[in-house]
Amino acid sequence: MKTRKHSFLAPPTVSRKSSGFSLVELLVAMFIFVIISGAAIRLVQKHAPMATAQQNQAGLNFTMRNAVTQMQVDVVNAGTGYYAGANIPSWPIGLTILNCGDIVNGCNAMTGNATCYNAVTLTYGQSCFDQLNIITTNPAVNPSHSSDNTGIACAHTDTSTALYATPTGTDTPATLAANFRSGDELLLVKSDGSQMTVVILTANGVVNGGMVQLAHSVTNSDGTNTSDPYGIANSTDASTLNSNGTSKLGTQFCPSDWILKLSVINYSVNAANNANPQLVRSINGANPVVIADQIIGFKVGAMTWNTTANDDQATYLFNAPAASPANGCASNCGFQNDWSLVRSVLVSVIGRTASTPADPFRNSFDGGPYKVQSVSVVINPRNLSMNDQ
Amino acid sequence: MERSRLHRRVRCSRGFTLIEVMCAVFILAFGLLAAAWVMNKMNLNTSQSRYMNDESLLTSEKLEDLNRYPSIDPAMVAGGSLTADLSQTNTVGAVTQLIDYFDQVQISTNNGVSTEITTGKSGGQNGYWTINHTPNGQASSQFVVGNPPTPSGDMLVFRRRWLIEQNVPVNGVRRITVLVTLQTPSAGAAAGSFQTSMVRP
Repeated sequence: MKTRKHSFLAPPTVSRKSSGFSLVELLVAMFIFVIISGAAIRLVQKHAPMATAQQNQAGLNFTMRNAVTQMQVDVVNAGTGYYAGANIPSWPIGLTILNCGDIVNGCNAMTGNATCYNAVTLTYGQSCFDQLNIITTNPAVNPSHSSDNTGIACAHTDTSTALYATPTGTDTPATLAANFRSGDELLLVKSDGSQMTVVILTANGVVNGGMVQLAHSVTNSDGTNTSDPYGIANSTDASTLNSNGTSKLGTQFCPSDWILKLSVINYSVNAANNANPQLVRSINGANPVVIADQIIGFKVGAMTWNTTANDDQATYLFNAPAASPANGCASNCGFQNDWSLVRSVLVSVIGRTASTPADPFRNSFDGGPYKVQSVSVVINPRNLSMNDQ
Repeated sequence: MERSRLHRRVRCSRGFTLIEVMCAVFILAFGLLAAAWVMNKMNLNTSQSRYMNDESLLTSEKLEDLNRYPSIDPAMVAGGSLTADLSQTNTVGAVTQLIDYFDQVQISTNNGVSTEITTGKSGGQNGYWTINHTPNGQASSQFVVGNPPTPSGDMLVFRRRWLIEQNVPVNGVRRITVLVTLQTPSAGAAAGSFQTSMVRP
């Protein structure tokens, strides 16, 4: 073993051991350090966007789950409240579906709407999406009886703008009148449930003797109402026969018939900012609440009760009106807006994470620099299948 | 005393040895690798969270689907298993049907279309339902007779099994239990299974 000897007189400041690194040692250490630090920088560079992507993915998980859960809670209750005080058999309407959001220019769900989606800017317009309306009666407003101003004759919704409501139970005309406001949508239905229509109020309810006067816009002579934003009283219902062999829509509602104030929960996508379409929920068209951001797909299909075969159709139809073969439809072309046939719905929602153009990742759905997650769930409104059991 | 102070000064001025630097670099590298592992683990956990999320939704969806049948439907006859794919022939009144108590769900968003494929029977024939949803707002559903396509690499594949028990937990009702298990990707196996029950007439 080699040992170094020091003189007691001369300090060992010139010894080799005390001189720090040699040049070779320094170069080797620096080389290793550069290699390691380079790897470390690459690691951080690579993981920084991964951490962001991971956070975005977690947020999307939560968003999709939240949106679907909210819809499940609402849809299972579709068609509730009709039996509270008014024994109306064979209730016809629990929910309605409007294809492609835009009622006037809505697309055919069989062929989609090629112009609603821009593959370059990755923006989604209003007509890429459906609307789902969940119809219930307003639990805070008791049913009342309908008549004209005499109280003993029938009201005619197609020729008169005035409808009179007679309170039931403990309601007084004053308390009932306070429940009706301009813009409210009312459902008028025969006592045997055979016919119905909807009217939109144009003024607040006014007490008139023992009744409440309700001003409304007239319906068409076949009972359809084109100003109905939810499509409840549509032309298909007018041409569909009920069990009595008459149209499901009517215009005469007599003192034994019912007036029900509707409460409609609407799910739609607000694409006013087409770079961030938002799934929104509103009640009676007021104060829409954003349920989820960055929704790029929202379609609602329905499984219908096949009355002729006395069995459910196996597939979900995504086309509410009856599409023709010219629209690309070969079979199961739609349920013709006959909402009374709807027994369960299938909701398909597609969401995306925030865009990260710097990340080389591109999804294979629309090629965008973000992750896409789709969810489709079946929801069975309890009240819409009870009649069949 | 003088020698000791000088010697200490000598030791203090020697700097690090190569082996000390190497040890420090090794520790640094080990720490960085550990950080990378943690990041990777977090990423995996997020994916598993998504798988569990999907399992939960598919479970509630199957319960909803089974809930639409009348209580006198052959599909509501007690049977099935949570540990095996079972089918049985059920007769209710004049109706006799072969009922599956299992299915398979494949989910993908690929080739410009979001697809969900669910196996099952229609009109007594084995096949699968396909639900397609494209960016332009087109959605469609159809039943195809035959075996479902082989899952592509990007597909999530889930197995669903359900068990219907009559007069459980009390007489007059039946309990339906659905178990959903992720099959593909196998890396998500840690997501495990999701099981839920409901009681109906």
